[in-house]
Amino acid sequence: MPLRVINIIPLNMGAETNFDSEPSITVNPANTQEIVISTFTPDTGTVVTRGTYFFSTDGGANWAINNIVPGGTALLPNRDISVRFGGSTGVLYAGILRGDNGNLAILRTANFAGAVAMDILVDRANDDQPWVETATVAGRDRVYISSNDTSQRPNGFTASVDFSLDAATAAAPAGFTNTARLEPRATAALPLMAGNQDGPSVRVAIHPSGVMYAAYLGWRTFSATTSNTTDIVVCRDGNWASGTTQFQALVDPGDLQSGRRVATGVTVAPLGTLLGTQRIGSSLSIAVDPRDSQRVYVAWCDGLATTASPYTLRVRRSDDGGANWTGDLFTKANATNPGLAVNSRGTVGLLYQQFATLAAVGRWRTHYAQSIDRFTTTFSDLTLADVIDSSTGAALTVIIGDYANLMAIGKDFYGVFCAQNAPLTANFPVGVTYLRNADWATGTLRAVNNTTAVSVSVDPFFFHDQALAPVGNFAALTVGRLPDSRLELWGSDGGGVLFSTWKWTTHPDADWVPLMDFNEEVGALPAAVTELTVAPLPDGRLELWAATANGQLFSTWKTTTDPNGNWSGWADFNAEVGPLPAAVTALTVAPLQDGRLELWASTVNSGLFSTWKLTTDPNGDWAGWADFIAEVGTLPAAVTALTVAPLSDGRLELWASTANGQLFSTWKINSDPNGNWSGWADFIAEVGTLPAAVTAMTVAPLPDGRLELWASTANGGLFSTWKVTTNPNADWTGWADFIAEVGTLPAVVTAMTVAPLPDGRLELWASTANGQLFSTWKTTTDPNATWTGWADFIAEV
Amino acid sequence: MKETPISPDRLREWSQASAFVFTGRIEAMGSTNLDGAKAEPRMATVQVEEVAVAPAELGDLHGRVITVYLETPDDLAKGDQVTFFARSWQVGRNIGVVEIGRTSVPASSVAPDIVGAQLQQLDDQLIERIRGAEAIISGIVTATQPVPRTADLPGFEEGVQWWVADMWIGSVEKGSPPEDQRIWFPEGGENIWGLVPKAHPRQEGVWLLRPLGEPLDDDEHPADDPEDHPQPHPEPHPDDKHPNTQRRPRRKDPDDGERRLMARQRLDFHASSDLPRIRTLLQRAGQP
Repeated sequence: MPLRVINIIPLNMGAETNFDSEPSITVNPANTQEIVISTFTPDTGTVVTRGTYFFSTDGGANWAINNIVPGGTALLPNRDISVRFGGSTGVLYAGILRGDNGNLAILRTANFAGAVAMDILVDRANDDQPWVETATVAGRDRVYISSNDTSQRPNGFTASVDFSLDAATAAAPAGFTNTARLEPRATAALPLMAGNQDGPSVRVAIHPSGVMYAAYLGWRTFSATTSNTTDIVVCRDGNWASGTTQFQALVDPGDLQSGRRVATGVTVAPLGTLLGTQRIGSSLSIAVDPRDSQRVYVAWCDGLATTASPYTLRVRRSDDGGANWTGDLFTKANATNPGLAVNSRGTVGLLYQQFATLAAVGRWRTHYAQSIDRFTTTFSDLTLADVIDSSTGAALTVIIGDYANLMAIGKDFYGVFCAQNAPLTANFPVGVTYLRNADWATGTLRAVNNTTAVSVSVDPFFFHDQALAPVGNFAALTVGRLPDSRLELWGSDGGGVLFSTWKWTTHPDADWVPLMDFNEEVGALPAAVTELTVAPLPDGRLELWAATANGQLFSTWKTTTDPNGNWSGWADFNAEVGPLPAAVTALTVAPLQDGRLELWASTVNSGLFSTWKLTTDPNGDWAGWADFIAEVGTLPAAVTALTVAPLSDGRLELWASTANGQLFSTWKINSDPNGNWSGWADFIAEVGTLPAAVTAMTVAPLPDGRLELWASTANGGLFSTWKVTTNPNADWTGWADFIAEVGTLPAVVTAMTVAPLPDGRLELWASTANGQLFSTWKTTTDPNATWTGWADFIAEV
Repeated sequence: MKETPISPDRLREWSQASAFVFTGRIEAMGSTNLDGAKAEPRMATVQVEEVAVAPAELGDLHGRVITVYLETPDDLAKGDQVTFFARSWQVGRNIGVVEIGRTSVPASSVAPDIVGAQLQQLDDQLIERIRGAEAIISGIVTATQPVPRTADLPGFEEGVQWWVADMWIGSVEKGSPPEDQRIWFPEGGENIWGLVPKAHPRQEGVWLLRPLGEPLDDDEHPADDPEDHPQPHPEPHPDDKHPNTQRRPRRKDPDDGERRLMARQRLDFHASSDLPRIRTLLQRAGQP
């Protein structure tokens, strides 16, 4: 997925040297071009009465700062701040601690780029770390402000959620008359009889169904010098917190109190403890899977930030609505500021910042990890920034902030973190764009005049991990088995991008990894891919062929037998084998009985050619193109589609559909890999007629070795036939209406491919003329098992 | 635009509220060049011709076209040359400001008065800090060290770590701190504590000291608690050239009855070279 990182300080703030820390981010779900980021950033002017936030109206490419957060002073624009757009209204909400008096203020504006100060909906004393989450239901914004309401210190039940079920337009307090108290247990006593309280961080996660979760740090003992004893508690509400009691759906079996304790009695460093130069002691994040309201993840940090007890990030998961929790799925020592989010395909994103010491110099390394299997494993863990930890020049005492923030919209992840801004290429391993002036050759920031040097400080960095989205119809599809039996699928879209995805593990039901741009890995091709085919070499390494719209043919292969090995760069296949007389119209490939591959290519001038490995050496040479028509016999028209597979005795059978609507096959007449091919047989005559011309074909063996062949037709039909017995010479069934069995498709099938999963069950993919891609798979390993209904494969990957 | 002279009082009021004062020519009414901002009748794009006041970090605004969110579009038209007093709005690819007031007098003509008004504002703010200070000293920081965290110290629950700076005191400008008066300062905690000036060894300057508290605590005139004070010392004579440079007693024990004082805000610390100004303002504040 394309990932971009942007330093959001605008060019016109080029002399800015503030430590812009502790960020939150919101993306307008109704218009993802609109993004707002909050940080501790003062107004640009010297006469300050308002706080600020940054915003973008072009998806994060450009940013501006807006000074419309009320409650600022000349000294302090605002204290804690977080922001969220309404679910579909475009209204922006903020929860802040005012700069002037520290009060909690809940704010709202319908015009986030405007000049008018945000409306104050709530303003009350004694609160900490307000955090906003929102959803829109039937046009009404439901807004939840979680916080540590220290006004409740006399009773100690401070972890709270203020909420409104209709906040978008009403006058203050706009429905913010409700407060859910999350904490039912005795909390830590503060010194000097100041009362009792929970930890500062309280977070809410919202599922579109109205199931909601809240997490908090239930402080049980307090010490400013040694450690805090803390429970990690998760609460649940089943219906938008709209009932008479809120967030009390989970009961802990240990004490029968509401709120499930995910961990009890963990030891956490006191709030004043430093990790590097950043204080720690209250780190928490929670996220729910938008596909499954019962699947929820929580991340927190515990430990004393010592060698013996490092401050450690932990991630756990519940699959039953918070009733039961896994152990630690992911841990990282010396890490803080976790940000969890789950996208629409169930991929979990985790943002965190890890402290490390290199050559006696402290560094903050900002990581962005992903898991596609519910954090059973980590799919990727990228370092977005690796910068010096320094508070030199800081006016504020939260150097990178008490939190960072990650969110998901659809398949995309959006995040923000704060880091030192020295313009050094090595500091940003995945690349970065600065809007402010920077001299990368000397590592120097420059003022607006691009001449005056500017001191380094801390800036907010936005990142967007954008899911690849196929455009237009798939021109070609193919799937192959990696050496460990995991499938890898390729598809070329109407925009000329060649995608691939693969099973993450060898489990037959494993998740597919997100779509990747295959050419980013292998290299660019001169034109869009029109045809694809893939097969394993004798040592199991896959080789992939791609015909391009400019008439060329390329191949790439795994460079080692490691299933995760690299691919070679694209090689010009015709340069190796010889020229073809015209552009390729169809490709197919399969192994002969001795493992050598044979490849067929049809051409627009009605030719059909094949080439094969000359020896069983996986790296052996290919024969020159041989005229397959000359060997097997003429066809009545140009070939439109090809497919090939081994019969149950290993002999290959090849099918070719022709432009006049016919379908033919040929097969090896004996088990000799170099044996002759039969003449073309009229497959329609054997199996039965099809209602229209074939648009695509694919074939693969069922678990018992019998072949099943699919043919899509120009009238929107999809049919299959299969060998009636395991005898390689057995008859084929008549055409069966596959649509009738599996379900309707929205348009004519344009490409198909099929392959066996690791347990032998076939999975079939079909792209349709409206640009969608579907798959279906056998429900059991029984060769005669039924197929699932069509699943939207693009939605999955 | 009609001729709109400006009264001294109005000029002072606007100057003290403005981050921008500039003269420009209106390019278009009801127009904006800001990302995301929808054009409104109250907006105008203005080409900047003269700048009297603008945030330095924005660079040179001459020739730039900026959007002004007008108090009112009345009496303005394309081509008018206007001096705007304005506060910040947006800074992105372009700059937006919110009008506080306007005049037809060119910025260059009122610039000295504007600077004077803003300096007066700074002096007024500093006088308020001087009036509220319990002690004002000049000197050099000789050493700093953290102090044990105890519950009676501000910010204890949020993790503030207090430090003290040992001082060589050159002069006492106000109050009667002991000879070994230390200056307290916080590290860590919420961002508000970042407003407090920090001390470091060999740092020279002038400190306006108050009892420990949050930076924005409104206790400009702290109650005098004799229990917390060392023995009072004779106040310097107002005519003394260097107030209170006579030797003052030390505390018997560093932790015995120490009056915990801090500089709470940025205006509570000044470079040594500002000492004459502080002394002048002390007199203007009516405080020796």
